[in-house]
Amino acid sequence: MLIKRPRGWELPESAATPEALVMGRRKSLGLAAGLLAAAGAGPALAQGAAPAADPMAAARNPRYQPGRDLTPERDVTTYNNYYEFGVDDKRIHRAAQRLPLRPWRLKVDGMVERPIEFDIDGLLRMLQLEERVYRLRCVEAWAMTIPWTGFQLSTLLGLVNPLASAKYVTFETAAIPAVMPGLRQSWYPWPYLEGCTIEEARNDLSFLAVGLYGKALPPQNGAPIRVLFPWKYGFKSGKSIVRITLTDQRPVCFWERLQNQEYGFWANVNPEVPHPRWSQATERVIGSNERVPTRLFNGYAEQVAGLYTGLANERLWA
Amino acid sequence: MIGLGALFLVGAASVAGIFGLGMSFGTFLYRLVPGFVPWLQSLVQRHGWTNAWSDVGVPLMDAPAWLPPLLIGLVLILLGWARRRA
Repeated sequence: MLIKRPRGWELPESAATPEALVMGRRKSLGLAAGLLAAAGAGPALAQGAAPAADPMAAARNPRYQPGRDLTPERDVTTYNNYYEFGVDDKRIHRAAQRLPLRPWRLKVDGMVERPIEFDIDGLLRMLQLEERVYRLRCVEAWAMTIPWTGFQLSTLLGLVNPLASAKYVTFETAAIPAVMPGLRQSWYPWPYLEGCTIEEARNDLSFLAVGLYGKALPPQNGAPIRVLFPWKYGFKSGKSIVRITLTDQRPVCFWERLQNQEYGFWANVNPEVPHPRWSQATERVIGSNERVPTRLFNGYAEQVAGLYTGLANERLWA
Repeated sequence: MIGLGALFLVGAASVAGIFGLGMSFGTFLYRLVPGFVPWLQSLVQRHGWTNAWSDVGVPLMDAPAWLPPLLIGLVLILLGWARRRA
């Protein structure tokens, strides 16, 4: 007897949204995007104005069950890596408060049919936000579980229509010397650049976050918009993004440029592949300080393992 | 030891001459071995000396590239001179 166990992302046919509805929504989104582009990417709010979208209103998506307790919000917002604001992870949250969050433009360009420069509030008004609880695994062997508010990266890509020749997506993060003292560390190749393949970007798990714990994203966590790849080490999830570029050239990312052997392009979580200087077999859970086994693809293998078939020659794990 | 100190002084002068007076030590190291400073930082911070890196490491990396070899050279020459006198 054949027993079919549905995988995490599989839904019954009956749950599929009718095509007409999808196409209608896509059309209206496309129209809205076109209007935004025509109007100079939407009306920018005055500096310091509150975001238009209320991340509090986003419903939690029950498909994403972390299997762990949420990390206390205080830990998430006070223990941060954000080198543009310094190197002491416990001081970042104070230094980052100087980051001006409005107006904020997000340019999406490169190999797309419709390059658009969004005003962040205009973009958020167009999209349906949701909350997803993801596990975050840092390459430094600690982990958090965080409820993020945002939308799927593929939704944004749908607005700009990537060309068939686009193979990679790069994420450039903000570099504002006036408020980011870390940029004076000229021994880092600023701005922070991250990237992934177009297939990874289109995966359901790839997410653009604009909030956490039902509130707008704080600066130290990557406000006003950051990307998340929960099956990769945390450094792949760039913060405070200003530009997303589709390209046919594989980007050389920030850490890859510095230490290719330690922080490569793919950086998928794998407990069996140690970092050159420490084991990745376990992780320290921030909040409880408990040490737990690390899982392949950070526990998201079911959703993403298929992305890497035929890539045996690539260094997928570091 | 005095000879080694003199070598460091020559090194400091060479760095200043080739890369200019304004290049930071961190940038100099980045040009030589791009991953060295992050490696050193990670090494220091993983041993629990986070403050040591931000309070000592970063200012050191911010210093002109010629300054650390100059200081090391002077210290070595002074030590060598003191040892000779003892």
